[in-house]
Amino acid sequence: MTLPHRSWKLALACLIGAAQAAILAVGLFHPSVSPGYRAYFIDHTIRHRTDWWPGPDIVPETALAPTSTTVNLADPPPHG
Amino acid sequence: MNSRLRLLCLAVAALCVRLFAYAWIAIPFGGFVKAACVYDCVWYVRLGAEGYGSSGDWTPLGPVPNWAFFPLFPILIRLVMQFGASAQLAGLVVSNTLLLGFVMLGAEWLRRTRTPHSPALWVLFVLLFPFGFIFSVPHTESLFDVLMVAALLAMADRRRLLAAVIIAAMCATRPNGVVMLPLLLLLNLRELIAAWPITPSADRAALLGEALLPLVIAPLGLSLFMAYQYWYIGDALAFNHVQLLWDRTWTGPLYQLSHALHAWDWGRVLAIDGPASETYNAAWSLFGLAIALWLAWQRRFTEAYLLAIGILLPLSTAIHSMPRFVATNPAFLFAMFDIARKAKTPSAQIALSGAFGLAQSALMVGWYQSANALF
Repeated sequence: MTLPHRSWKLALACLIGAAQAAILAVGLFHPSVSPGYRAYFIDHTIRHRTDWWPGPDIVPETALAPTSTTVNLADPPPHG
Repeated sequence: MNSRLRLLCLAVAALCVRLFAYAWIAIPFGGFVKAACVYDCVWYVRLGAEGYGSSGDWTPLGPVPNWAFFPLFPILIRLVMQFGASAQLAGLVVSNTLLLGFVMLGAEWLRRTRTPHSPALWVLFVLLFPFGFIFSVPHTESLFDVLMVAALLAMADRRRLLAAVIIAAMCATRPNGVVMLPLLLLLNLRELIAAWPITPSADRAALLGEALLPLVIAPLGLSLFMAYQYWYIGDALAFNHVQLLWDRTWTGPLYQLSHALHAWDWGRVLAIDGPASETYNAAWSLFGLAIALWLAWQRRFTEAYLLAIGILLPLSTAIHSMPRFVATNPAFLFAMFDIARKAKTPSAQIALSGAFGLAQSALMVGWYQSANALF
């Protein structure tokens, strides 16, 4: 089957749109990260999406396990 | 010399004077290049110099915090660094060059939307406006604003593919670049609905392609960044997840405003150290929203939407940085210019310019001292 000559923009739009939908789906449903990263950033965000005010006490200890270059996670450089 | 070239010459001359003043004020703070690079600049110049992943030492969870900062501005810094500039100097060059683009395109937008048109006053207004100094420091404001006005102009000209490419660049600059997507969607729908009945059936697939292609190109900046994040760190939404480090979690604008107004902490506004005044930030948010309503009242619905959404999106997650988000929004600047232009007598204009200039100098000193309460 060949596409009509003037429909190439539609075909391209479908291709680009599908690729972006795939990226979004993978981003939402299939992150490939370490357990510590998942616990701190992803689960935390999802768990508290409907809460009013997440406190620092909910950060899992495993997520903050020290390494050779540990710094205080609660005190990143300033971000305006 | 045509009028645009004259305007550009005026903008370049006025900007040079302004930069000279900034450099003079910065002498006690270690020089302009160093003193101007605070807050997000530290992140952007590091990204420009070393790329993503360079901040792995910030956390035991991997090179994560710098995912909050989108790639287009650091890429431009990197490009200028190829000419031998330091990352901080490159950031200044990028920001100030794009500021010139913003004032020129802003003048064109005003020419199309306002009567009478006063482009020279607009240039001086932007350069003197108290918070206008942020366009000259290495932050994304000048890049984002020039792209936003360019996209508005392209959409006004019905150049939908060009608008889509510009919006894609906005989406690669900041997460809120996506606020332009509904405008492009509306434009495309309107064009599609108008053309559909008069288009032969055989050509309707092509017509649909004309409408859809810009819509899928526009978010590409964000999608490609997400794909890169997934490839590099395994989390395509890392740019969003890492906002947690700055206490940005979804709570909604009403909660943020209510919490900040209850804090009633005006005393922290002028503090050099410590957290920003929440009430001061709330006041800026409310002022910005009031200006958005005023723009809507003036039937400037596009500008009203851009200002309101530009406030509500960041306000949904945190109250801080609102002065910067409000005061550098192009729609806010257009509205403020409309109001400032009501000062018609020369004495009123001189008084206003003097007040603006003094306020900007004071804010610049605060910036050099990292007085985060102000911004």
